[in-house]
Amino acid sequence: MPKTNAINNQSAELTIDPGASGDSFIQFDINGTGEFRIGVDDTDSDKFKISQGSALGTNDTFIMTASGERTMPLQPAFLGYLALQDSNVSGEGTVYTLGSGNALTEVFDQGGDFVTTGTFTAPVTGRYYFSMSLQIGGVGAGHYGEMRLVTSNGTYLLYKNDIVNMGTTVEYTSSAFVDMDASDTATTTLDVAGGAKTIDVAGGTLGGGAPTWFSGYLVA
Amino acid sequence: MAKINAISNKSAELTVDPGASGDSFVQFDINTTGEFRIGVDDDASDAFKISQGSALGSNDTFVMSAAGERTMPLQPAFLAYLGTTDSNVTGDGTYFTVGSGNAMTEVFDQNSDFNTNGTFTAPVTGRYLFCGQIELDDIVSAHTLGLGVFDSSNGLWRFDRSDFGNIGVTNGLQVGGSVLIDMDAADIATMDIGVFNSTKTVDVIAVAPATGAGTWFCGYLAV
Repeated sequence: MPKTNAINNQSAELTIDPGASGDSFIQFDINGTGEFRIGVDDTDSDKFKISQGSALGTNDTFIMTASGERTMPLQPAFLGYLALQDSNVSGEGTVYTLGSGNALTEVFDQGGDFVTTGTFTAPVTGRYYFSMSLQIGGVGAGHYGEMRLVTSNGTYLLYKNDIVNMGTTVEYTSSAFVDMDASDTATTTLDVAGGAKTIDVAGGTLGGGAPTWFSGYLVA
Repeated sequence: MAKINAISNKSAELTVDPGASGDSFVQFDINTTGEFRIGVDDDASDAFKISQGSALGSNDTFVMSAAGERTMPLQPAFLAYLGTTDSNVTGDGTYFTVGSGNAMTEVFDQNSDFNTNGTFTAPVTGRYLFCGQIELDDIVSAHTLGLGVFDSSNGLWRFDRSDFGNIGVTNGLQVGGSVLIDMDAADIATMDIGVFNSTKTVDVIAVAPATGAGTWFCGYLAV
């Protein structure tokens, strides 16, 4: 079948059809430079895509399958976990930042906005969701603890209790949905006080149940 | 007003206008098969849509209201709660998957990727956010270790580890969390609880949402 791109003023249709094969798309250029292309990728199960540049399938920013499943392969998103334990990092009031001791191991880091020292930097202004879990060991007499999400726009107390009453090894888990401006940062901190500096933050492997991790993504 | 569909080589505008009424859209076909249509749905408060096939209003995959509220009616997403208590499922080190005993009750299951036995199966490769809570009862002081995990094909993500016997004997206990994880197409995820060091007496409690759902599991394809 021949290529058929048509503007039909009777039906108000604007139809793009490459014929028997090929992508069906609209190209947005400025001064001859391909900025974005939108359309259906014939070589990828006819998914609808919004791609930066001049090709569907390269720099895909938005992918919608025929079943309605949407992914955004370049949307800022990360997950990192602590593989090796950080020992004696708090207990007498020292504020410990996750990743500041042993580096975190990245599972994924779409957008490249996370560093393994535990800091996420917002690439654009928006609303971001973060979740984290810290396994805390070495709990002793008098210990009470606080976990926070520290961002450039504010610090959020996520967990606070008399940790000594929970056992010698406990897990602090929480999440927050926050506003960030471009270049703002976010980290997770732990502050245990009231006792000796014996608090450990546990590391571990994914197969055994990662005990300490930090994740987040740009929501809106 | 007459229908005006026009390409202006002066301003680089491409305008689609059906006139007094009708959708304003661009149709993407391959070999005359309607694959996707994007445009403004005149019958839905002029919402901008990306719809699979050849019609706005059918198989809408992306809907943006004129006020900027975006929904994705077919995006994988689920919420389910436990409607009937599972008794004596852990306490001796057994890991119990929520839903593997009494089936869960679905509140919603967009795209039908969740099974009421507690298993979510990823339809496509992506990053998924999971969240959940588990209410427990009949904990005894000897249950000195409890672990809650999101169990996925790519790894286990712990959201709780505590001395349950020290904090949950009198009034029970609720544990939970959330995590953003990577999944490949066909990978699965469940929410599990394991209580250790004593006998198998621990119950996973069901409470209806009307009175405060005690045990529930949710998730969605995030990016």
